Order: sequence, then structure tokens, then C-alpha cells
Amino acid sequence: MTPERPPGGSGPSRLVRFGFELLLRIFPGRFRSRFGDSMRETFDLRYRELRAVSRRSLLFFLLKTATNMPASGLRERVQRPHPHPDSPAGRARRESHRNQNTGSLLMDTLRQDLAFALRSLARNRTFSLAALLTLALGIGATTSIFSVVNGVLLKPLPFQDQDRLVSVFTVSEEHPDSRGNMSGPDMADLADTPALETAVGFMRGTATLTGRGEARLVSDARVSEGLLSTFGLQPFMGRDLRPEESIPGAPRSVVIGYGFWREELGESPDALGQTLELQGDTYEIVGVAPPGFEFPEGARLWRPYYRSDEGCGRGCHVYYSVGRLADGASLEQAREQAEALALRLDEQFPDSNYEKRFNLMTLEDDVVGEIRADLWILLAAVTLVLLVACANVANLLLARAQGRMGEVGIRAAMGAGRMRLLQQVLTESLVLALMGGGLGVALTFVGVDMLKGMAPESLPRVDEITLDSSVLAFALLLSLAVSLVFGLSPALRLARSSPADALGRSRRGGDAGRAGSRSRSLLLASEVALSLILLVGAGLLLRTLGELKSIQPGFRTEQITRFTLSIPESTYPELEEVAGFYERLEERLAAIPGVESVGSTFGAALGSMSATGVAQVEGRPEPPPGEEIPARLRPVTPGYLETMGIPVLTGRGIEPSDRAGTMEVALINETLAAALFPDEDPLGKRLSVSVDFGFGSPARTIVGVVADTRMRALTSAAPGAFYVPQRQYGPSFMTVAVRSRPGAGNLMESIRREVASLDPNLPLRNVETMRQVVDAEMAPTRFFLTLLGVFAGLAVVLASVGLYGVATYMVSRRRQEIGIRMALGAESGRVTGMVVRQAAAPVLLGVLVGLATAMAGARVMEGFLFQVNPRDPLVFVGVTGLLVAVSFLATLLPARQASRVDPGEALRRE
Amino acid sequence: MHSTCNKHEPVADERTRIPGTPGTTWTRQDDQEQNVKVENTHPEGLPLSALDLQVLLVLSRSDLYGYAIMKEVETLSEGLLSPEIGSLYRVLGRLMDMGWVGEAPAPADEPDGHRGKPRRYYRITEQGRTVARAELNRLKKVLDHAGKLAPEAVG
Repeated sequence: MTPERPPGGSGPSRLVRFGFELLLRIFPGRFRSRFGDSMRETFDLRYRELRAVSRRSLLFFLLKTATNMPASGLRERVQRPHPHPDSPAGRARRESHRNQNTGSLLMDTLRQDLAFALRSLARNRTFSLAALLTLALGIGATTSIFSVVNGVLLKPLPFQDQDRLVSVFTVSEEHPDSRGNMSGPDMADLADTPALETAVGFMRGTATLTGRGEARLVSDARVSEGLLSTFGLQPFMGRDLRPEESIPGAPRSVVIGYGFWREELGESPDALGQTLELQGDTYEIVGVAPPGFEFPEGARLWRPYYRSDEGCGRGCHVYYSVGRLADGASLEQAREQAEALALRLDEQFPDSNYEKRFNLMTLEDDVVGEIRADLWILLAAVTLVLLVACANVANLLLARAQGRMGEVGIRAAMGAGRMRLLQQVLTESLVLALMGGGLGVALTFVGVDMLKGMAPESLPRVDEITLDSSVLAFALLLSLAVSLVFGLSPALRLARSSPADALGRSRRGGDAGRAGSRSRSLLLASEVALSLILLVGAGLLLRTLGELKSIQPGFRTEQITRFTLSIPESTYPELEEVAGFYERLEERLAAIPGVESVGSTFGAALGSMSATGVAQVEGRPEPPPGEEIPARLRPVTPGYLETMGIPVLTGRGIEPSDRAGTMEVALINETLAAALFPDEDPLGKRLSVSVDFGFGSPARTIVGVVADTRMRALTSAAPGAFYVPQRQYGPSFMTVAVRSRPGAGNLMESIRREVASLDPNLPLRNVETMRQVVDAEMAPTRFFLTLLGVFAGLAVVLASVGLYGVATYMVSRRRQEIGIRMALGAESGRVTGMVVRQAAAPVLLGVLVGLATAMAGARVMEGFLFQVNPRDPLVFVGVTGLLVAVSFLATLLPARQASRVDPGEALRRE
Repeated sequence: MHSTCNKHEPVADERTRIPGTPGTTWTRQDDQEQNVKVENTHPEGLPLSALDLQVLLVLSRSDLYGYAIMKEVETLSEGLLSPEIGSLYRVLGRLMDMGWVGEAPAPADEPDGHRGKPRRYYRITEQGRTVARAELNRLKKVLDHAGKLAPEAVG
């Protein structure tokens, strides 16, 4: 007979196979070699069969297997090898096995065991409390990190057919993995490749909302064509944006987010057809997006982007672009077609597309790809803490098991079955783990809030991090797993105890005592090793933070507040009005008591806007493609360099007299000077910078060289910069920096008042101090450092508590021996040394294993580090020293107690 | 299948057992019941657990490999018994130790289009058949006996 339907679904994943492999290990080796292969195959076939049926039955099967395998494996283990059926032992065995196959009896004993476990936990309060707290910390920390992993990585994005959504970027041939914006024409060509159904561009930004109370900023996105259809979504109300609405002159329409509709319009059913004043224009609300749709991150309004190719063609990379794969097309195909298109465009439009390529990735990778590895590493790190916690509890249980050997031996002698004993001890572990898990979940409530508060802004999907049912299920499974991890070895030891133990043979270190001390030492060694690994990680991050802090950004970071203004073209149409506005503004701000200086720039350091173009020295031939020298174009007002503390090295700075009508001047920074004029004096030379979309500057006379400043990120070298007087150039979008005198307090109130007195309809964007800006750059490092530091600290504390406990236990068991030694004249120093030496062995072993593992796995940390070698000797030596010192202290106390043993008293106790 | 704690069930007892080959006959007075005499042809190791018996019964129809045994037990018991992997192989191990089940060569035409390493097939031994028959007999007697005591319960 064979099964009627051949199993259909796909086989178990590697993780599941690994899990089954672990479960198999619970069986004795003899059994495994006999049936292991068959069991694997049966599992595999059953898995395929049920997978084809339903997820539910598959899950049920996995759960049942996860409980049945350990139970069967343990039974197999505690029973002696199968005796010959005709021997008396064989007969007795069959009798006993008969007794184990009964269901109702099982429930009875379970109830008994539960009651017993609770009684015994209540009796040993100190032990229970220590074990519970340890477990709660471990499980709570692990569950908290899991909730982050779950929210950010595991929950699906709120789109239909997430797998078919791809992000599309323009990249240079040199940096194929970077993510640059797309230009409109490139995007349109890409959308025409057969593998892509559509490609839509977004311009993220903020819009000024007026006419509804105070003027304020709303995050919005401007869309090249359509919106929701790309994501396979239907509007909650009304309709989607239409492609034809992106043509200049079309009526102005806006789709509002569900959150905006709820909070700003009070869920009004008549929202459709109402109007919003955005950036001074009137838009009609045509639709409400479905709940949860806030793409790109945080957008609350979506308006069409009015395409106009004037001055903004292929070279104008403004769109963050999302495409949808055509039915049946794979990402690979889309990539191939995009590559072919890029090569064609490269040839056809060398001015704009020279060595430009396209980078396609799934939207999911785009949103969470960068953080994915980091979060898994974090989860791995916290799992190490949990393992340390388990080892500690196992140690506590082992010590207690040793104390119970006598009692259990008597029970074994009186005929208690091994299985029964094992079951009882395991029940106790389970109760402990579940209670610890419950406490841990309570801690998770706090932990998740803390994590969300600490998370750097670069962490996506923070709002999705919640304690939902999958997190709770995780905590439950974790508790079950944990109970096996820490409960198994003590339980097996107890179940193996023989009647001889009851007769006291083991009380002074017989076979059983030695085996017990060996498992304790191994547990300690693994605690030390795990702690060391975590300490190395934390140490490396600490060094990285130090490196980050020692970076000289090239500008002041203290006492400076900055904000961004964008003055509307309708009120300030010409350069004269724009320059006049900023001049008046800076005068007023400078007059505020406490303000030391004021200056403005476009493309501020570590900001989101910048314009980079190609520098061209007048009179030199045009550089061949690929050898252009890039320069950041930075319009500044006269006070900017002084406010930010950027020194002028040669020549002069930007003067108030550099205004329209006077000589067109510019400053360059050291990097640009070195690149363009390695052997010449740059002063007096004329230089132009051409940026796409008409944002370039014709040739200007260089009148000064200033020091470098870091621009893109603290960790990336300063780019070449080309400073031009804002009064000769514009633009209307500027970042204003205000430096205050020390002790001037918060001036924001006065600053806002002055801005409003000039123009009441101007909201201040991105108000931040330079300290905040710089700190935000270090936030991810700080975040991971804090967490790894906490984990490492927890692990070290747990490990030293474990060491202390074991050393104390050791001393108490050897009191008589120590007493005799001292009676025979051993000095107290020697006794102390003896105890410390004995505890040193597992510490040493743990340090060696930990160091080797950390060395081998150091590369995991590479992505987190900046100018720190993942095998930094300073870190390795430092944390080893720290750990050894802590371990030494943890054993010193019990060792000194040992040296104070009174020989007479110790001997009398016998 | 609850085989212990059953007051109506005759239980083999060391003192009354007459040594001999499997299939020894013995009589035993049940001290709980009102002098009911049960005669039984009983090999070693009865009663069997439900799963033991099912595996033997399934194998008495044809040689099978592990997963097929699992499926067959499930089918034949109409879903009443759905053995877990761990339990199933423990039972198989035990039945083999008892000499009731042995290994069999894989048939030339393996079902399910199986490729790769040949599967391990299991075959019931003559002794196994005897044991299964004896267990069924015993169960039948238990039922008959129960039927006499409480006809309405057995029906």
C-alpha cells in the first residue's frame, strides 16, 4: 500500500530542516544512526504533503513535531538499551513501557508535577527569584528586539503585490549600487521597456498649507503620473490622480492621505471637492488614499508634478522612482532591459547620460535593505544574552539538582520511573520559563517604547513596531525553547541518579559530583565566551563613536541654530527682491539680543539640498567625459563664513558690497583649489560651474580660498566647493544659520517673530541646531552602541553572578577538605589561590573560545565601523582584560570566605 | 487505548506464568471480579499499545517505508490515530527489538517516483503476525467479557 496522493508542496526551508536536526539530537546516538535518515525523510515527505494542504495544518504539524520529538527522544534516552525480550529485564521493561502509554495517567501526573513545581519554586524563594529575573531579562530583551525585526522587516509593506514593485535609480558606472534620482525622460524610456508596466516618479518635499488656521508645512510628494494604481491600491474615497493631470495647465488636483483626512478634515464625508491652499495655489481634493498608505515615507498629500522639459531634461535628476513589473516579468529581465537601455542612452545622449546606468531593486530592499543585516545582527546579539541567561539558570538548577540527588536517589530506589522523574524536573523548568516569559513580555512593553524613542531617524517603518500577536507568539515559543535549553541537562542528570546517590556516595565528589562540576564549568565557560563576543562588539562601536567624534567637520557645531526658508516666486519674482528679503531678514535677526552673527546658504552642510556641477577654468580646454572635476555650487550671504566659522585662507571672503552690478566673484575651497590649480595661484582666475536645469554659474573671478567643510556626511571627505555671493546669484530657497552668544538661551521665539514680521506666510522648515545635525549623523552608531553595550553589560553581570554562585557553591561543598588543609597548616593565601585557580579554568577556556569566535566573526561588524579595524587589537585586549578582572573579582569574595574557614568547625560538621 | 487501571482486564502476572514459548496457556483468577475465569493464549508483551497494534496491522498488509506507515495508519484508523514522527520510530524500534518487525528490501518499482537513496522498508515477521492476532483475540475477549457484564454499554 502506498499513499494515494504523492506529496506535492515544496520541501522544508533550511531553517526548518535545521530545527528538525536539532530535535533529532535529543534522541540517543544509537537511535539516530538507526532511524535518523528515515525520520528525516518522513519529516520531509509529511511537510511537503501538508504544505500542499494548508498553512494551518502545516503549522499544526510543526508544533506537534516540536513537542513530540523531544518527548520521544527523552524517553528513548532515559530507558536503558533495549534488553533481549526474553531476559527478565526485558520483561520488566515491557511492563513499565506499558504503563507509559496511558493518556489519563499523563494528565494526572502533569497536574501533580505542576503542583510540585509550584511548591518547590515557592520554597526556594531566592533561587526562584534569581532564575525568574534572569529569564525575564533575557526573554524581554530578545522579544523587544524581535518586535523591531518584526515591524521593520517581517510585516509586509502596505501594497498589493509587493514583490512586483521595484525602485529605480540612476547610478554611475563606477558606483552601480548607489541610489541616485531619475530624470523624467529616462524614467519614461524605462517605463517603455517590456518588463516594466509603469514607472512613476516622486518628488518628496513639504508644502505650505495656508487658509486653514496658521500657515504650516505638510509632508507631500509630487507625482509624475497617477499614484495608487502603481501600488495596486484603490482610493479609500474618490479617485486616484490621473496621468493627464500632470500636464501643465491641467486643473490642480490633490489626493490626501487617510491620516490627513482624519486629523485635518475630521473624517468629513464631503471632503471630496473641497479645496486646499498649497504653496499659494488652490488644489481640489479628488481622493483619499487608503489607510496606511504614506509613500514615500511619511507623505500626507500627493499632487501631480507638472512636467515641463524646459531646462530640465535628461540631466535633471529629480525623481525618486518606483516601477511595477509587468505580468510574468522578473526583476532580472527588467534589469537586463534597463542595462540595454542605459547603454543606448549613453551613446545617444553623451552630455547627460555618459556612463549612467540604472539600478533596479525591489521596493522592499530599497526601504529596509540597508537596515536588514543590522537588525538581524542585533537579534543575534540579544540571543547571545539570552543564552548567557539560560546558562546561568541551568547552573542554578544544576547546583540544586546536586542537592537533590539524595532525595531523587531514594525515590529511584523505591521504584520511581526515570521518565516520571525527568518529566517532573522538566515541568519545573517549563513553569519557570513560562513565568519568566510572562515577566519578559511585561518588560517588552517598556523595551519597545524605549527602542522606538532611541531609534535613529534612519530606521524605517518605526510606526509598525508594536507588540502584536506574532510578537507574543514569539515570546511563548521562545519561553518553551528556553525551558528545554536550560532544563535539559539538570533534568537528565537528576533522572540518571541512582539509588547509590541516596547512600551518600556522591556527597563528597563521587562520579556524579565530578560530572556535575564538569557541566557547570562548561556552562561558565560558554557564558564567558558569549560575554566576550558581545563586549568586543560594543568595544568596536565605542571606538567608532570616538572616531566619529574626533572628526573635524570644518564648521562650528555649537551655538548655531539653522532653518530653511523658501520664499514664493509670486511675491519675490526677481533676484533684487530675493536678495533684498534675505538682507533685511539677516539685519533683523542680527539685531536680536544674544545673536552674534547671521548668514545664509543654499546647500547647507549635512542638509538635504545641494547642487553639484562641473567646474571649468576659463581658457582651458573642456575636460573629456569622465575627467570632469565636480564642485558644489554654494550661494552664500556675506555673514555665512563668519557665522559657521569657516576661515578664509587666502584672498578675501564674500563682502556685503558683492551685489548685482558689481564684479562677479567667487571663492573656492582647498579641495577644489588643489584639484584645479595644483601649481598655480587660483586668485584672479576665472571659473564657471555648470549644473543641470539651468542652475549653473557663468565664469566668475576667484577672489579667495577657504578651508574645507564636510558636506554629504561627517564620514565622507569634503567635496570641492564653489562659493558665490547670494546677492549676485539667488536663489530664493536658503538655509539661514544664526549663531548666538553663549548663555543667550533659546532664541527661536524671537527668530520666528522676526520672520513673521517680514512675511507672515513663511513657515520655517527644518529648524535644528548644528549640534542636533551632527548628533543625528552619529545616531545609528550611538543606537547600536547603546544596545550592544547594554547587552554586553547584561551578559557580563550574569556571567559574573554565575561565577560567584559556582565559586560559593564549590567552597561550601569543600568546607571539610579546606578545613583539613588549614588544620594541617595551609596558609589562608594558598587556600584563596586554590579557589581562584579552580574558577580560573572555565574563565580561561571561555576567553579563548570567545576570542577565537570574535576574531572569526569580526567581519560581521564591518558595516557598523568607521576607521576602526574589526580586529582592533586595543579592543580585543581591553575587553579581555575587563572580563578577566570582573571574573577575578567575582571569585575573590568566595575565595576569601574559604580562607576564613574555621578548621575545627568544619571538621565537627562531619 | 487504556490498558492499565482496567479492573475488568486480566493482567499477566509473573507468579502465575508458566515458562515456555510464546503462546503459553495459563489461567488466572482475577481477584477483582466475581470468579470469572479467563482463558487466554497469550504471547509475551501483551497488551500492545494502540500504535504498536496499528503498525503491526498495517505491515501485515504489505511492506512499507516510514512515511507510508504513517499515512496508512492514518487512513486505516480513519484519522483516529495520526502518529507523530518521534513516537512512530520509537514504536518501530521497539517492535524490531521484540523481533516482531524486520527490514525488507525496497521493491523495484518504488512509488511516488522516488529517486536517490533507496528507502528502508519494514516487514512484519511471523512472530509479529502471531502477536497481532493474539492482541486482536485478547481485545475481542475483553469486549465479549465487557458485553456480558454491561451489554448496553457495548451494544
